[in-house]
Amino acid sequence: MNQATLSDEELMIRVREDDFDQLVPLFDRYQKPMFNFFLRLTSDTDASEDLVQNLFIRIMKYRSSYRSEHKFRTWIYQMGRNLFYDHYRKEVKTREGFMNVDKVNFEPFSAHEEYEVIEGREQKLRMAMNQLSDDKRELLVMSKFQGMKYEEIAKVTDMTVSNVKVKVHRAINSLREIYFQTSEL
Amino acid sequence: MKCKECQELMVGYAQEELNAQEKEQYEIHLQNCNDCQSKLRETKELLNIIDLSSAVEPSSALRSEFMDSLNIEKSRIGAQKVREVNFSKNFYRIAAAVALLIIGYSAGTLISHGGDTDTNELSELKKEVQSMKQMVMMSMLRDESASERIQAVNYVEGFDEPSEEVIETLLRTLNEDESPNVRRAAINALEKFAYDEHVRLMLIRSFEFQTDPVVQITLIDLMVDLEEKRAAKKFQQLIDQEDIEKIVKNQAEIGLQFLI
Repeated sequence: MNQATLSDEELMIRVREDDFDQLVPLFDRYQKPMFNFFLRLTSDTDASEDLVQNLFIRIMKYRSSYRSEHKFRTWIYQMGRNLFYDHYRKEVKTREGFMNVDKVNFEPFSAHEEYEVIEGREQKLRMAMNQLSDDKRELLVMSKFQGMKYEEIAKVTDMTVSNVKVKVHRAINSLREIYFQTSEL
Repeated sequence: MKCKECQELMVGYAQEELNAQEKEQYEIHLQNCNDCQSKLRETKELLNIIDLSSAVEPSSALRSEFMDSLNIEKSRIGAQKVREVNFSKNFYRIAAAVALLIIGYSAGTLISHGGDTDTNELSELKKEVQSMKQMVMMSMLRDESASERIQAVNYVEGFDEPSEEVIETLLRTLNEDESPNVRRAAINALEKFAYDEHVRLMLIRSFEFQTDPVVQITLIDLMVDLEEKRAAKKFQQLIDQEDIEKIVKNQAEIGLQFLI
């Protein structure tokens, strides 16, 4: 059986039945999106890699709780969110000012653009994101950076679709205010 | 329509999510409102910037660490399965021994009493079977091969009320056996007797004697399953101690969240 042709759900069902090798293709599919999910939330490369690592340990440990009628992607985001909150609850006391952002090396997306221009814009975006409230940042990350549909976010966060939509719009509005305010300073 | 109402539609408009009626309303207002026009321009620019922002590759170390933890988990599951198979095999061995014993005993009583075996003698017989099983276990624990010793440890599953001697032997095996696999089997066997406060305390203390990551993780998992809050301190020590494998630290951190 070719692993590449199996869906996420088919793979996870096999993992649930203790076939751990099937978790490897799932890891390969999800390590990058989940790493970036955590990175957008924490702005911390090391912490984000640790979170991905812990996420997959949790998946192994709680494999039996996976229900085959659920989309794997929804399930992994639910686990990822819970993990992040656990981590965040511990960190929140020690967390310093919002401007303390890691230097992250984003890949250049266009050969025509100067690296400094990209780096400057990314830095500014991250700083603006860090000033958003936690729930706004999270919704924004899922909707705009992780490319999740409102319906999917609603499932992950246990909100109604219309509520998600309104909140994502508000988050974008807040980010706009912060982003263009800082450019005037 | 007022600016405030329009702002509610702005992001939807920029993302082309509005229905025809909302869109028309918004555009009528937009024509006459400079403020909303500039805000819309900003919104579109921001959305464009977000689109241009690219994802970052995690380091290659992440994958190799994942493969390590996967292999540890696999070996744990593998050991459990082997345990189940071995148990059934050994069950027949013990059953054969017990059958022999019963035949011998019955023959003996037949000769001496001419037939009837009363309840007293039956319980006597049970005791003897039990002590025989214990003897088999103790002698197998002295075997050189680790797999023999694992089987010995697994015999305990068949004991209803193991003697203090058996429990102490298991605890000694847990902390002193040279094979991490035998130690792990001892943890699994002791789990059944964790209602006993002495066993529980010894299990908590056992963290001090373990250096193998798989054994450490098995012990962590057991503490979490038992909801043994007194182990939290041991978890913290694993997290703080320098020479502990990262995967163990990770597991301890996860476990800590459940215990606190």
